[in-house]
Amino acid sequence: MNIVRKVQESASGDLSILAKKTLQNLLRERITKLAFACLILILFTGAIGPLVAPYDYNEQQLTADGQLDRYSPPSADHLLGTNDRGEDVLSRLLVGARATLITGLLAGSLMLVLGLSIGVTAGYIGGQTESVLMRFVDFMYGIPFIPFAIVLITFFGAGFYTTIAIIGLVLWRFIARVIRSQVLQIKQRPYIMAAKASGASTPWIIRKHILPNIANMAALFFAMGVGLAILEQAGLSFIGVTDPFTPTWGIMIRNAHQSGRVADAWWWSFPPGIMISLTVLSLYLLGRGYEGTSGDDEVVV
Amino acid sequence: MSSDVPVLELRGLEKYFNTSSGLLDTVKNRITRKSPTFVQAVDGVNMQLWENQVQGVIGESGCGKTTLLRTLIGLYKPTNGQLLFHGDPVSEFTKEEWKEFRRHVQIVFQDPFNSLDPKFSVRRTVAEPLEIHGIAYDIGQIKEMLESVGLTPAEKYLGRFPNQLSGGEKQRVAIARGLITKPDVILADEPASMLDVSTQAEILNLLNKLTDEFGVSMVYISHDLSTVSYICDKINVMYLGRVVEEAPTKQLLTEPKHPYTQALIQSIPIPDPHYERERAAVGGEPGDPINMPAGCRFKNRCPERMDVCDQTPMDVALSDDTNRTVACHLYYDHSTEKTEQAQ
Repeated sequence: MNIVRKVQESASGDLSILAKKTLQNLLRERITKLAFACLILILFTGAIGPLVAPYDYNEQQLTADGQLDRYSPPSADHLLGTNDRGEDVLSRLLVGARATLITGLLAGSLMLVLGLSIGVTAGYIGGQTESVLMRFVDFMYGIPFIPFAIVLITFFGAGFYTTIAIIGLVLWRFIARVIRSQVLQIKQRPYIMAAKASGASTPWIIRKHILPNIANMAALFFAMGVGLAILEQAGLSFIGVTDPFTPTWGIMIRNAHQSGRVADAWWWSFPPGIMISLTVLSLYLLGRGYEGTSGDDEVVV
Repeated sequence: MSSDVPVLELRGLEKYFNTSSGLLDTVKNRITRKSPTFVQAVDGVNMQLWENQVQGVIGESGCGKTTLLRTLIGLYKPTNGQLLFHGDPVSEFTKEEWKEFRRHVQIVFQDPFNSLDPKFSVRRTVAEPLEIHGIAYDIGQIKEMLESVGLTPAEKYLGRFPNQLSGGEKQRVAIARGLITKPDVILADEPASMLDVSTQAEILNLLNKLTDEFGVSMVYISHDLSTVSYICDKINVMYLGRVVEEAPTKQLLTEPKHPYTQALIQSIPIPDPHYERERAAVGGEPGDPINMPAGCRFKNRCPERMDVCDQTPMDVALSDDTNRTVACHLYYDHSTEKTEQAQ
């Protein structure tokens, strides 16, 4: 219908204005700008990494005399040297970027979806529903993550997506708590009451008023969720309960550790560690910057 | 629309809030056989709002004005009593009828700074009630409404967000949002109290003009007698959940009957430093709405207190004017009441 389309157009117009404004606010601070640039670069690496990698990530390199080229330090041929099996570290790092980022984004999205739905439902509906849901969140907080993950992985077998699912299904708990408290705050605002008074249904209010107003918070916690997922995945890789054949950064550190030459072959063990820290740091810094900008578009009396 | 039925009518409307909050309290009350305590925020209010009428409700903070308003719009469910809309009780409304009711009864809030969604542009804010009710509209209609609330040129305001508007402009947008569905009744909850004085006058004039122009009735709630008397045809004075006096504005101001109203009117500030006025004879603080004393609720502060005040006073229509009632023992003959009760 004509009108429906028009309404949608105007809505997207508003949203694009808001998105632009938020981005502008976000990039005002230099440190956030830096984090943003860094993150874009990492995402870009994840997108094109496997294409620009100089060698196949699991191709064993040979020296001129036909020997396996193990533990060779950085050189023109191998910018980050080779590892114990003679594989090119740079190629593995570039290919690993994609797997690591996919883990982070997928697990982060899963956390966000679960945390948002439980948090918004509990916060908006309240009463018994809230009690039950929030006690469930408390219960989830009681789960020690690493042992729980190890148990589950022994059940379901180590796999790339199993790890993502486990991270997402357990670590949404902190998002649910924060989102609930935000919703509790927002649902008392008079504009929600005004919408209710003009006859808006609960789904309408949640979609049009609650979600846009917690979007800042949700984005912040999505960023933190992605960072957390990458960290936890690295941790699980390190103790050896993830798929060892997908070269994530965590797996690279594990391999280096297992070879017993972490200290000698620094070109092998340091880069993935630095990449993990850099990714998580920029995500958190971006989140912090976002938190700083979220408050100034509304006057709370 | 038939004009022999009031647009909105309240019959003995009551709204109590349970003070015990959790499951534990409820269980404790069950075991100790204590009845749960209630806040009697609104207790037996009768009111009739006719077409094109502007009625005021005044009273001090905490007397139940806002609860009354929220009950009127259906945000709270009344504990007892009836709310009739064009003669139909809203308690028997179906979902569709509720939606229709919500379209015809709109609200303007006290706080313009929080009553607009910060993520909604002016255009979306004003269009939202229409979208909720699935009414087709075009942008011209929105512009027209913005212009009639004094936001000219409308184009300039359409794409703005609440943080780009002043307090007065926000309140105008809120009024436009209220009027866009062509309601029968506007409920205004102190719409001017958070604005500065010059803006207050503008908003009041605007409301005055618009209620005439669009032919809507309005319930105007405030603690400020001077704004109420400026805009209303009829005033209800509320004290601790009850309407103690109801009279046309002029009569109420010139000859208040209830001791509480008298005190209120005496305390309207007069901007003349040489004017010697009588101090209001009312001291103390309003009672506790949880443990309400029996009888007249004003008795502990009343300068005219009598023995009979321990009984609940009736709403009596004053003989000289049928449009006027007062709930005070001073104004009726108790011997006739007793004989009536005996019969």
